[in-house]
Amino acid sequence: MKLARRFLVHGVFWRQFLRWAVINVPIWIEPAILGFWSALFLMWEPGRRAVMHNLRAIKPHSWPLANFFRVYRVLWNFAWTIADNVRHHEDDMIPDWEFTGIEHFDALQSRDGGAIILTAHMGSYDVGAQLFAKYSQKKIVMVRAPEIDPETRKYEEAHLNDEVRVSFNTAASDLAFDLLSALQNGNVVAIQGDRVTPGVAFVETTLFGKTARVPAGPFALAMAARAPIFPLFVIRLGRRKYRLLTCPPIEVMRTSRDRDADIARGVEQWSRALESTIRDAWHQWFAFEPFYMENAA
Amino acid sequence: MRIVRDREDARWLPSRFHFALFRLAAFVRMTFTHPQERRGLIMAIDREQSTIEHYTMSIWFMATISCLFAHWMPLALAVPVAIVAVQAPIYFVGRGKDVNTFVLMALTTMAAVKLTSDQSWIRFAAWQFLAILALNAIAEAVMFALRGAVQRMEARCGL
Repeated sequence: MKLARRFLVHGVFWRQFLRWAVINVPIWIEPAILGFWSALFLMWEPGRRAVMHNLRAIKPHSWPLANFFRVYRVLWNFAWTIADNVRHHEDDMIPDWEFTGIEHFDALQSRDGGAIILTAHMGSYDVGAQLFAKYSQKKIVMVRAPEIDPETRKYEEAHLNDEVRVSFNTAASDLAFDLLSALQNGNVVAIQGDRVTPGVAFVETTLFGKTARVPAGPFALAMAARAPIFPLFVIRLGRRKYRLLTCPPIEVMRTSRDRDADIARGVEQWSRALESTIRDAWHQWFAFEPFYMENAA
Repeated sequence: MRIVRDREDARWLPSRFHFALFRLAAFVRMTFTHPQERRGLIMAIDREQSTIEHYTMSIWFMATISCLFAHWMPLALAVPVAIVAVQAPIYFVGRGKDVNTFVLMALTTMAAVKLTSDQSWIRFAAWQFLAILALNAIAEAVMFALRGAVQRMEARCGL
C-alpha cells in the first residue's frame, strides 16, 4: 500500500522522476517530451474534472469539448512551470522576465517596513520568489501549504532553496506570530491567497459569480502589522519567459469597530484582482480542485 | 548566470542559442537590429534560452525520427511510436543531458546513414538529417571565426 502511494499523483515518485528528467533529458527535445507527459496526465480524472469544473465558471459559455482541450493547455503550462522550478534549483536556470506594474513593484521594494505579497497558484511562484530574494534587499518568507503525502513533504523540505525562507502553514497560530514578527522586521511575506487548505480560517467571496473561499490570514495579518498587501502574479508567457504582474497595494485598515467589514473590503479588492488575472491567464491557474462549492464533486 | 536589463534587442544575442545554425541566424539578425530599450526587462544569457530554437529542434527531430520509423511501419503509427521510442535511450542511459544528446544524435545518424539507400521517400528524410548535421558543422566553423564580433555585440548590451 505504501509502495503504491508513491505512484499516486501527489506521491513522491513524480517529484523524483521530474528531477531525474530535468537532469537527463536533452533540453532541445524537452517540448516533445513535455507534450507527451501532459497528454498522459489528462488521464488524471479528479484533476481534469476539477479544471473543467472551474473553467465552466471562468468561461460560462464554453463547450465541454473545448474545455477538455483547455485542460491540456493547463497541464502543458503546469508541466513547463514545475520543470522550470526544478531547473532553477538544479541548474541555476533563470528565465527571462518582464514587469507589468513596475511602479508598484518598485514601491514594494523601496518600502521601509514590511509588506505582504498575495499571489495565486499561477505560473512559477517559486522561481518568482527566489528571483525576488536574489535581486532584492528585502528578505522573503514564503508561506506554503504542506504536501499531502508525508514522503513528498519530506522530499520537498529536503530540496528547499536556501535563498527563500519557507514556512508551512501547519499550525496556524504559531505561524501567525512568526509572520507578524517578520513583517515588523521589514521583511516580505508571500502567501497564496486563492486556495483554502483544511483547518485554515477563510472568508467567503465571489469569484466569477460563484461563492468561493479565500484564506482570512493574510488580511488579518495585514491589519495587525499595518502592512500593505501587494497582489502579485507570476504569469508564464512562453518557454523560460515570465511576466511579474504587480497590482496596486491593498490597505487593510481598522476603520470601525466592525473588523470583519474592514477585512471584507480587502478581500473584495483581492478577489477582483485575482478574477481579472485569472480571466486573462486561465490556462495557468493551477487549481486542480474545484474553487466553488456548487455541484463540486 | 549573466543577465541583460532593459534591452529588447538582447534576445538576438548569439550566446542565447545552442546550435551553431541558430547562433549564425541570430548573429545575422542582431547585426541588423538597432538597440531597443524597454524598462522592466530581464534577459538571461544562457545558450538554452531561445524558444524558437528549441521548439524548431524538437519538432524537426521528432518529424525526422517519425519518418525513419516509417520504414518499418505506417507513418500514422510511426509518429506516436517515435514519441515513446525517443525517450527510451534517455531512460536506459541516464547519464546527463550531454551524454543523452550524443546517444540520441548518434543513433539517429546511424539510422539515417542506413536509410539513405532506401528506395522509398524515406531516403529524403535521411538525407535531410545528414545535410542539416553537415550545415551545422559548417556554421560552427563560421561562428568560431566570428567569436570576436559576438563579444563586441555582447559588450554593446553591457556584458
